[in-house]
Order: sequence, then structure tokens, then C-alpha cells
Amino acid sequence: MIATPGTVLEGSAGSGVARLSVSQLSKSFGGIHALRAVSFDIAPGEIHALLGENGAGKSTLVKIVSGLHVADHGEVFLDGVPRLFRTPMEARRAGVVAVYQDPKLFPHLDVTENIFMGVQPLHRLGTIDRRRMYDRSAELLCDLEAGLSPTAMVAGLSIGEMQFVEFARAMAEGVDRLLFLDEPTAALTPSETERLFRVVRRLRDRGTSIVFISHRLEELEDLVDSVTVLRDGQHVTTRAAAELDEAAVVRLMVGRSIEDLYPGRTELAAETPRAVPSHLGEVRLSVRGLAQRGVFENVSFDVRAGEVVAMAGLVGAGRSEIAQTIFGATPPTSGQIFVDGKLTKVSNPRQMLSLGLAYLPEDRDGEGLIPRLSIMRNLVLPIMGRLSHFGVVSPARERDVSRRYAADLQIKAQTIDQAVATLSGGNRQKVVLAKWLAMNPGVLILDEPTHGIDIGTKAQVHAIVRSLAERGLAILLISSDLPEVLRMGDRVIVVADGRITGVFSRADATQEAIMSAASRRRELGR
Amino acid sequence: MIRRLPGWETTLVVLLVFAGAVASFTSPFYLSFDQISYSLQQSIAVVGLIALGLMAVVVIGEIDISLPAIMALGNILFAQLSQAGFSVWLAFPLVLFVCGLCGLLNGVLVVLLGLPSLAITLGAMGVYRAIALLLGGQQGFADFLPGYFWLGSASISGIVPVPLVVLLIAALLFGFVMHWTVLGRALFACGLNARTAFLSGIRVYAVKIVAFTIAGAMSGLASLVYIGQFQSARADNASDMLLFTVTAVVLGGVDIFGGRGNVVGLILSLLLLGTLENGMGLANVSGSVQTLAIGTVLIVSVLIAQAGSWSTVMKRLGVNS
Amino acid sequence: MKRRSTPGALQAESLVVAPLNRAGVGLLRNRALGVSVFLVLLGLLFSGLAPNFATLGNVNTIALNGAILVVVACAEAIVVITRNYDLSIGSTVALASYVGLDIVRHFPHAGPILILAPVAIGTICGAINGVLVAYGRLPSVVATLGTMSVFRGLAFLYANGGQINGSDLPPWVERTATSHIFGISTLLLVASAVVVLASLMLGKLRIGRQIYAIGSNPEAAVFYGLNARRVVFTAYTMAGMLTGLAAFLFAARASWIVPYLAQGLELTALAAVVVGGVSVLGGSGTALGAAIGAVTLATLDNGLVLLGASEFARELMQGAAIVVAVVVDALLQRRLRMVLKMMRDRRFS
Repeated sequence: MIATPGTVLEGSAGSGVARLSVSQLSKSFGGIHALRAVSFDIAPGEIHALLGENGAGKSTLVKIVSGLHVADHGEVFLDGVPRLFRTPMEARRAGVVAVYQDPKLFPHLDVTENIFMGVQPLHRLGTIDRRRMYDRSAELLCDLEAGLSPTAMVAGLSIGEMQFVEFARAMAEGVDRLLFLDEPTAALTPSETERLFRVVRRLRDRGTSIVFISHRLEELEDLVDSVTVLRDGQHVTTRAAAELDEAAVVRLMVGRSIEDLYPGRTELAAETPRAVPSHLGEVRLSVRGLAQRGVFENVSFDVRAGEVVAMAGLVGAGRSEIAQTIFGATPPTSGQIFVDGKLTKVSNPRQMLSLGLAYLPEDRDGEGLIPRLSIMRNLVLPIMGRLSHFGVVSPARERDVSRRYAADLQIKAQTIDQAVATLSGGNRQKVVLAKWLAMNPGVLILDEPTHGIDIGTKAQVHAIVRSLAERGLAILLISSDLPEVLRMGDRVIVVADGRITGVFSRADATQEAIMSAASRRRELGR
Repeated sequence: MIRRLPGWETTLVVLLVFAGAVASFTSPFYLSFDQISYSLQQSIAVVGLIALGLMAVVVIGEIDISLPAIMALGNILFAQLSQAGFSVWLAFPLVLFVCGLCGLLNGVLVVLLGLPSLAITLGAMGVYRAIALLLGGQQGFADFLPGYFWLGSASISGIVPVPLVVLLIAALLFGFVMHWTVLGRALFACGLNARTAFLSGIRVYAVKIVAFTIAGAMSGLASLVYIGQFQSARADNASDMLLFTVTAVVLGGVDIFGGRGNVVGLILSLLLLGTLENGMGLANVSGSVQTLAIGTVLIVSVLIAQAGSWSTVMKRLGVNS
Repeated sequence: MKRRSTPGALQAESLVVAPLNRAGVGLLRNRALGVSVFLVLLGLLFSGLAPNFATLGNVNTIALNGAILVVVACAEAIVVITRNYDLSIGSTVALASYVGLDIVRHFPHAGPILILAPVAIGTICGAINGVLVAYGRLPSVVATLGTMSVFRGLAFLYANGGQINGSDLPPWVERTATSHIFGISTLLLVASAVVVLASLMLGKLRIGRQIYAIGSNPEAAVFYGLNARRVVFTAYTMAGMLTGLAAFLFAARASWIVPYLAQGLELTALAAVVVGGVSVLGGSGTALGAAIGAVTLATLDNGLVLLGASEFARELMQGAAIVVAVVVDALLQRRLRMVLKMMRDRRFS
């Protein structure tokens, strides 16, 4: 049903030239190494899985090859020819496309217009040949078994349907060499997933190489020809899928002993796992049956004073959404939240703050800070009122408080008046932390607090969290960093697809167990 | 608040002095206290009050182009109250209240319903002007009870014109609120990043609506001064004011995208624009050419502001992935 | 089989709001239809209330008054679809008509080819707006507020106190306004031609579809190889061209041309556009819709005049029309705005 003739491409399986070959590819973002000298090959006409934890570097790799980012070092070869695309359009024209989870579509326009935007077929006069466009669109959609009408308006589609539109667009432009699919099945129903796999197999048979980034290991088992595992920005292995089973893959993805995690870095290596607190206080935060329709459901847990509960899971599992619901940023569709034993009618963050519950957002610069403002201004933002004299700000008090916390947390800056934007990631995080600590919270929810900061500051933040727990705070620590979860958590709650799929005590928590629980997909029909 | 370009205000001061120098060269009448104060009071007192109000709205990242129309409404209302025999002590607060209410209405539509502020205030402008026309008819008023003019025409001990004093006091108060109170801080925070402000416990909706209401009330105050100065009320005055007001705000260093600005800069820019107008008037430049000049100033100052802040912002925020 | 969903606020909303918004989505596509219905109802209402409304002569008046508004509404629509505004239309009309017709006055024997004079001036004005907004990255409100006064000031400067009388102009100018081709007023024909051409451009040319795309989701543009700035610039330039044409029509109808004509025209144009279903949030609406909106406004105004309503009522209607139209638009687009927001809050894994 695909109109383009099914000629098998040059450089197809058996010809010996790799479809994609990356060599010593490296990329850093402000001191954080996303990719470190990664080298591997992808054969023509194969389905290849690119696996790794969050932050392993998979997305960065894809963005470099597909033209969104420029690598710091290294080379990329397409069918033996060195190619470094500077824009996604260049890559598209060469037959390389990446389809991401978040759709980049034009919601006001219909499916067909989105598919053909910029490349609409024209009449001889230069006007758009709508008939041909809609016919071709119908063909593509039919071939993808997308179940979409070519005239459906994109705004009315679900995310899964939008993704099909993106696939269709990739195919319309004749992606024939390399197709990257970033978590394509996260938003699809099982039957849509089957459909997608059928199409992917067909593409493979025609000579295209498809790279799947996914965490759904059990899904990929029957589909994938070979597997590449990345870990902490480095290449671990590339092997035929037949040689590996799920357990082996998980081990490869996370398998590292805590000590050789950061060889040569003594701070973290010297960190011992937190001693299980002997005496825990009362329950300070209690959540029962919390749900946000379509996002998460049936979330229940307690956090006691002096306890650090770690919430592990994959990106997109819904942990931030849970946290933000608890904090009052979004109202829940059902469930109850108790702070210090009292049922709260959650309506907004201001209210939760007054009850002593603070939330440190995942998006540090976008939701936790105002980078253009000074350290002091950021720090006192929630407590301006408290520090004021009848509404008039008191710079003296603000300065006092800011200096104190800046010193306590060892924020490295010349003055507290300099803009937060000039600080390093680690110090910025400390500012956000200080901001909430200044409020003297009883419950603290930290969402990926050490994401994207340097090792030294990471260790400092961990030390701070520990001392807070010792002081009696109840802490919920959301983290995708498994070693961190294991080191810091007294208990580990694992969230997958909006549900709690595992609760582990310190003793039972292992990286493999957590990873397994995190990759568990919701079953059919439930 | 942060200085955007180092010395935006300094530049304004320099330009002000320069403009004054040019004005005194081109006309022998310029350099006299009476002349300057009279001209300033005519040109910037009313506009300045509206510009202060507009600043509050621009700081939160929105715009309200109906403010001059609210002023016109205030004019007519004030006149009606005079006709009805109300004492000036009652009329003043009443006008402020009604104009504040208009601002509140704008705020509710924009903030609670999330509607685009230009389009809504554009429509609101038409509605307010129309209501003013309804109340006042075409011909306007000219007879007022005593006391109604005081704000606009009297002078303290015969020297300092009251309108300028009003502007000064209003600017001081306004500046105090913007830069020294929790409310002011909240306004800037909402303009810079409403989401962060929300997650930090600031009542973003309330703060934004308050900004619109303040703007409306300031326009009301402007209308009180206006009556005094021009001693008549017509429904269709204030069409040119919008340009002048927006230019004053932009030239004053207030970031049109919100989050930054300084009352001192605003006052300086008002003085600068006032001097420009004064000089042009003395040089017999026609009204429309003056408008042209102001329009050019608007465009140029926004361009400069964009160029300046763009590179600084890009440089600083280029750090994080 | 239960539909699985992704964590994300949008999915939550979509499940709750979806049934409502399937209808909303349908409505969005047929806004032009909605306005037409409203127009017809309005016509019926006025025919009932005012005796001389439904006469041929009156309809002709509406048509002639509306024709120019139709042209500027198309111009404004093109800009609004890209999620920008053009507040300088009135001033552009003034400048283009004065300078353009002055050129005509100086070359009385050159003939109708000189229609290109005001059109060219309008195009230049539009291009200036385009440069400021697209390349200067100025917010369109501020930029066109500035050019509004600059253009008008230039018109005054050029006119230098004078005016152009209709009698100074060659007869073909006036004939454009008064003549008829096959019984239909030339003005009407021109206006209709503009609507047809604008619709063709917006609907059938790649640049037209890109105008919608940029207005819908400018951030997605880079992935499609679209040059957002060039598209916005082109939109403003095209709008300027149409405004120049409108300037000519304006001048043709006027007995004399002065630099202070067409004040406030941009507000009426925006009202027409908004009433006609073009969303100020960008990405939707049609030239036809804008034209119907223009006709609706002209009808509304005409009817109110016949009913003896004061200037107040007419101005109130215009303002209220804008507010109501924007509110309705925002309500209809609730889901769409959520979708847009979702697309903006990107989270890469």
C-alpha cells in the first residue's frame, strides 16, 4: 500500500557498510557530560534498540545524529559517508528522521496539512494539489493503520494519534535510511503498538534501519534485531538481541557497584549508605488513594518525620505529577491528603506552604527559580511577607536570612546580590533548597534534586538532606538516579505508568529490583 | 529589580540635559522656570499618571490600551457629579472608585478567563469610550462647581503647579509600592515567571488583577487632574494619549515583556518626552510631526531595549542545558 | 479495550473535556458559517425594525461602505493569523492615499496603471512593519503603534497643510468608485476579487499554509524547515499591499483627500476580523470569514444609523463585538490552547 516502489536500498543488509556509524561522539552541557566517546554501528535494514537509564545519553545521541544538536567531538557516518547535519531539515532530506514523544505539530491544522507542511505537492501553476495531497495522506495513514481521517484536526487527537501523524510525516518525506523512535509506545494502546510494530517491520524489510529508544524491555523482545546499551554517557555494549535476556539487559543498564561508580572521586565513594534511622517520628504526610484521571491513580503512602522516602521510576512515570498534586499545583480528581494528621482541602501551593509542606520542582530554572533575579530575591520569594513590616519589605531581614542560609548551604557566590543565572547548576540548586528551608517546612518533597549538577555538589546536597532528616523533617525524594535512591532512601517506592508498582525496604532494594518494577507496564484490560 | 542596560537611567539623564540644551538653542523662550513648569504640567502630568498605571500592567507582562478611555470616562463622570451638585470631596473618591472598577473588569477578563490582553482591552476601550459618550453626549461640559479644578490648575504658593506635585507624589507612592512592598515584588515576580511565583506561594491571579485595578484607578486620578487643567470634559479626548503613554513606559526602561522596570526611569522618560514636546512646540513644529517624532522614539527605544537585553539574556541563560 | 494514556495533564483534561470539544473542534472549522448565520439574522432583525433597511438603495450603501472595510479586513486577517496585530492600517491608508494620489495628480495622463502608486506605498509600509516585527523582534503591538504615528506624521508632513480635491484628479479615479461592470459596482467587484485572491493565497499556496502554521505553533517551525521570520515579514508585506489598494479605493470615493482620514480604521478592521472568526491567538480563520465580519459590522452600523442610534451606540457595538467575539473564541479554543501548552512544555526524556 505504500506508493513508493519497494526498491531495496544500497547499503542494505549484507553489503558490509554500516548504515550508521558513530565514532568517539562526545557532548557536554555546561560541565555535565551527556556523551563520552561513544562509538558503535547500526547495520542497514535492522531494528535496533537503544537502551539505558534516564540520563544515559540516548536522547542526546539521537538529537546529534538527527541534526538538533552539534557534537563537541566525534564523527557520524551515514552509509560510510561522514555527515554532520546542522538542522533537522538537512537530516530529513538525507533520509534521517527522529520522532519524539512530544508531538511538534500544528494543532489548528488537520492531519494532512501537518504531514505535508512545507512539502505540499503542487500543481504546475504552483498552487497546492489538494487532491493529490489528501490521497497520499490517506494512503500513508492506511498503511500505518493509524485509524485516522486525513481531515481530522490535530487538536482533537490524543497524544498517541498525534504520534501516528508524526510517523506519517516521517514516511511522507521518504525516510528511507534511519528512523529514530523515542519512546514511541508510551502513549499507545496495545493494539496501536502492534500496528506500529508491523509497520516498523515492513520498513526494516525495505532496508530502513529503525532505532527504538525505549524502556519497555518485554515489548522489544520479539521485535528487535540488536541492542546497544548506554550508561552514564558511555557505550557499554552492542550485541545481537538473541544473545541477551531481560535480566542481562537490566544488569548492563544499571550494573555498577557503588564504589566504581565514580572512580577517583572520593566524596561519593566515601558516602556510606544512610543508616536506617532507629527512631522515626509521627506520620507527617499521608496520601490515600490519590488520583489524577489519566495521569496516575491509587497512590497511597506515608512519610514520617526523620524518614527519607525515595520515589523511583522512569521519566514520565508520573512522579512529578504526583508531587505537584500533593503540593496543590494541580487539584486531584480523587483521593485524600493528610498533613500532620489533618485532612487538607488542597487548593493551591500557598496553602500547602502555610501547612509546612514545600516542593522543590524538577525544572529548576523554569519553576524553581527566577534566574534573572538575585540570590537573595529568589531565596526570600516565599517568605517576603513574613519578613516584611506590614507589607513593606525589609532588606535588612532579607539579607540576614539569605546570608545565613547561603553560608549554611555553602552557596558559592561573590555576593547574594548577583543574579542566580550566573551560578553553576549545583549552586542554583542550593539556592532553591535554601528558599524552601527558609520556610522551615515540616515536609519536603524534592524532585530530582541532583539532576544535572556536578559530583561535588551532589555529595553536599546529599549531606544536607541527611542532616534535614536527622533534624526531623519528613522527606520525599524523587529521583531517577538509582545509586542515589539506594543510598538515600530508607524506603523506596517505585512508580510506573502512574501506579505504584513496588515498595521496598532498605534491605530489599536492589537496582535490578527497582528497575524491573519501574519498567513494568500496565497490563491489558486493567 | 535589575538594571537592564547599565545606565539606562543615566542615558536618559544625559539625553534630558541634551534635549534641554537643544531646546534653549532653538528658542529664546525655553529657558524659564515658568515656561518649563507650565509646559511640563500641560504635557506630562496627566499622561504621567496614566503611564504609572500602565507600568504596573506592563510589569506583569500584559498591556492595557483602554486606560486613556477610562480616563475619558472619568472625565465625564466627574463632570456629571459636578452637575449633580456633589461636593468635590465626594466626587474625587467616587471617580477613583469607578475607574478602578473598570480596571478591575479588564483584569478579570484577562486574568481569570485567560484572554489576550490586547484584544480585550481594545474592545474595552471602545466600550468605555462609548459609555462616556452616552453620559456626556457630544458637546461636553464646561461649568463646574468650585473646587473641582484645584487638582489641575492651582499652584502651591503660586509657584509650583499642583499637577506636577500630584504626579510627583503619585510617582513616589507608586515607586514605593513597586519597589519596597511585597505586592510590588510579587508583581515583578509574576512578570518574570508566573509559574515559579505560583509555586512559591504567590497568589498570581490576585496580584495580576490588582495591577489592572491600580492602572484603572491611576487613570481615574489622571482624569481629575485633566478636568482641572483643561476645564472641560469631552468624551473623545485622549486618543493621542495612548502613544505618548506607551512611549513613556518603554522609553522609561520598562521591559515590554514584563518583569523589569523602574519608576525613576519612567519619570525621567516623561521629563524627556515633555521637554521634546516643549521644544518642538516652541519651534512651531506641527502636532502631527510631533506625533511622528514620538512614534519614532517609541520604535527606536524598543529596538535598543531588545538588542540590549537579548544579548545579555542569551549570554546568561545560555549556561544551562 | 481501555485506552491507555500517558501521564500528563493533557490526557487528564482530554478525557474529561473530549466529548465537549469534538463539537468545539467542529465549530472552529465553521466559524465563517456561524458569522454568516448571524449576519442573516441581523439582516432580518433590521428589516423588521427599520422600514428603509431592506431596500436596494440601502443594500447598495452597505455594500459600498463595506467594500473598503472588506479589503482592510483581509489585510488585517493575514497578519492576525500569524498571531500578530497591525495597528497602523489607518495611517497607512492615509499615507498611501495622499502620496499615491498626489502622484496621480502629477501624471494625469498616465492612466489607471498609477493605481500601483498607492499600492506600492502601502506595500512599503507593510514591509517596514514586517522588518520591525519579524526581524527586529518587536512585539507587534508596540511596533505598529509606533508606525501608526510615524506613517500618519509622514502623511501630514508631505501634505504640508494642503489637500487633494477630487476635482484635481483624472476622471478615471472617480469612475472606479462610481462605475459598474455588468451592473455590479466596480468597488464591489474589486473587494470580491480581493477576498478571492486572499483566500486563494491563504488556502492554496504554500506560503499561505505556512502563515497558518506559524500562527499555530511557531516553535514547531524549525522542524519543518519553515523560516518563521520570513513568513511573518511576508504576511505584513502582503497586508500592506492590500491596505494600499484600500487606500486607493478610499481616495476614489472621497471628495477630497486629507492626511487625517481613516483614523481608527485599524480598530474597525480588527473588529471585523475578530467577529469574522479569525482568532487573535493565531492559526485559524479565513479571509472569507473576515470579509463576512466586515459586512456584518457595516450592516450593524447601517442598521443602527437607520434606527437613529447615536454615535455612542455604534461605538459601543463595535467595542462589545470585539469583547464578545474574543471571549467566544477563547471558550471554543479551550482545548486547543491546552494542546498548545502541552506542546510547549516539552520534556525530553
